[in-house]
Amino acid sequence: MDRDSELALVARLRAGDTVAFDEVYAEFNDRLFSFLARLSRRRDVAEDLLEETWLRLVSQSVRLNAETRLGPWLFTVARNLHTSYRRSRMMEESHAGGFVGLWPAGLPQRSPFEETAANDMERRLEAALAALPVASREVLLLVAMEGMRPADAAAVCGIAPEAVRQRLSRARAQLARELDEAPLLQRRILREVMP
Amino acid sequence: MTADEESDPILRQLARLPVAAPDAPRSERVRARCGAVLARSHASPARITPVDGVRSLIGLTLVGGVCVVYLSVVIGDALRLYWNS
Repeated sequence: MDRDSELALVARLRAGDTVAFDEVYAEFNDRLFSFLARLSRRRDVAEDLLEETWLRLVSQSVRLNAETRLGPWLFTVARNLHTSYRRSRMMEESHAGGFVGLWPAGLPQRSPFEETAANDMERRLEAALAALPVASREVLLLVAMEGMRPADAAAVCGIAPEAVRQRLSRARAQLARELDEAPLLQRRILREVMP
Repeated sequence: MTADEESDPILRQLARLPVAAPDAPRSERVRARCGAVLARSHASPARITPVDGVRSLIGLTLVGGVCVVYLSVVIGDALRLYWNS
């Protein structure tokens, strides 16, 4: 979407044009869902956060700045909603800390993307991505997958562009390590199971 | 992405990962709901017609009149009690 079309869409959204909303929705819905699903690693959570993101857009459309860039705006809201969700989950888990150990711990869930990955490389990449800390994962998702410039990704994450570059470099190294280690780990498990 | 990032094989592979779609019926419900919220939030407030204006003026006058009558009765009673005592 070029800048002029984006500005026109923002103006129509500010005026309450539902057709403009449909165009924005068609452009960003799947991209936002992929971002949220890979961040949260859960399809149901991603769908809830996605719905809330769109509701924020329509409820704040009158107050949108005429110069608003829709991509960074939407990804910032989605990312902030995910951060709030994680905080509330951490609080719940810390309150339930006393009960840990009463139930057997399950294996970590596979992400929805791992389930549907088309080939082995995709599956390994999804698994490696899912294993990264959230801060690394979000930078990789925004810059590598969404193709955002570091300055835009920085605005979405609320950090300086230089910090995004550092995080990206660190995340890339972590991802490479995860990808290298995954086959070694599989071989080690196989050796233990079938000596 | 910068040129360095674009030439990085891992980042290139990441960029090629598929974009997933959310549940289609739910997506459609969300789109319709948000469209309705947007339309409602921008709907112009109902205009006040001249008839509505006259009605509200009559209502205000009636209420004001009743208040004036009530207050004058109360004040009259208070003064009568004062002069009689």
